[in-house]
Amino acid sequence: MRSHVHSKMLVVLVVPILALVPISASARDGKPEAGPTAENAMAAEEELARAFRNNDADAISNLLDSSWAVITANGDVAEGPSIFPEGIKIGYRTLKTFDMSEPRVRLYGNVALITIKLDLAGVFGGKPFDVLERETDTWVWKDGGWKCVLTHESFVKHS
Amino acid sequence: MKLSIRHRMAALVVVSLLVAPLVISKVAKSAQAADGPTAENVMAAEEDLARAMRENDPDGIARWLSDDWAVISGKGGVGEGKSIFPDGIRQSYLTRKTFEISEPRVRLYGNVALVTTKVNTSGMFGGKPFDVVERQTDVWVWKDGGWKCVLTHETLEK
Repeated sequence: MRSHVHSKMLVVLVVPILALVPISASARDGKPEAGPTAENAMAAEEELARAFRNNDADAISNLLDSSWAVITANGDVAEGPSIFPEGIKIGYRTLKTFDMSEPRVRLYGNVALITIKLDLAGVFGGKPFDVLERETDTWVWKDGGWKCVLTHESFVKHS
Repeated sequence: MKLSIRHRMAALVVVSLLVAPLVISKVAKSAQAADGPTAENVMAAEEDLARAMRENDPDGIARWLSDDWAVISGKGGVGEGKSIFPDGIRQSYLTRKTFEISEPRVRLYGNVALVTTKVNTSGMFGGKPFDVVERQTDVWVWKDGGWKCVLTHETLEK
């Protein structure tokens, strides 16, 4: 009986210790624990690029802040995170290529600025396009993750 | 004599009461920095930077730019360093005739502000005249009690 009680106590002691192992591992791997860094801002940028490349409307929405806006390469201002996702859902905008290069990353506390060169091709409003852009995404660290609050695009022109 | 001292003290109190609010108000107005970052004082910084651009004032421009400032030009090029515009002005490579901003969109995220404006600008660049309309975003960071511009991203309007 006594030995049985000892066994039970051992289980009671060992189980919580074992439980700490996965918690500690997940804290080490989990990016939110790290706070805002240039590395996890760039990871968010790459995730957004992947979502665009895959025409994944929901994944794009997840990374955009409710205050998000885009300055298009034509100089127009469009407000609201649903612009691109809705364009994809109704088949108005379908990307074939979304390749980024030459990243410039700057961190200012809870805000990251990421400027990239963008090779972009697809169909927009029934017309094919293939352009080169320079784009700056402004990211804000909120509730343990990055949200994009502004995308500013420009065409790259060779003179 | 006793009456005279009383009169003097009363006069002093009255003058202090009348003058103090004026002095305090003036100090408060000029020391916007004491307010911390606001949409109003970042827009004031944006307007003063625009004035410096319009007046081809290299020192006025340099004062607002952070050491790590960069510009994404309307042609998509990247220029690094706060001396680009001031040096261009001093060497007469860049001379503006106009630099008018309108349609401001201001968003504040803690110590960082995003100010997007429509810019009508004309002048001479590298010996050639230009006259363009741009949409520009300036990213401002609140540092040591004031705003510094860390990035300017320009887009030519079609």
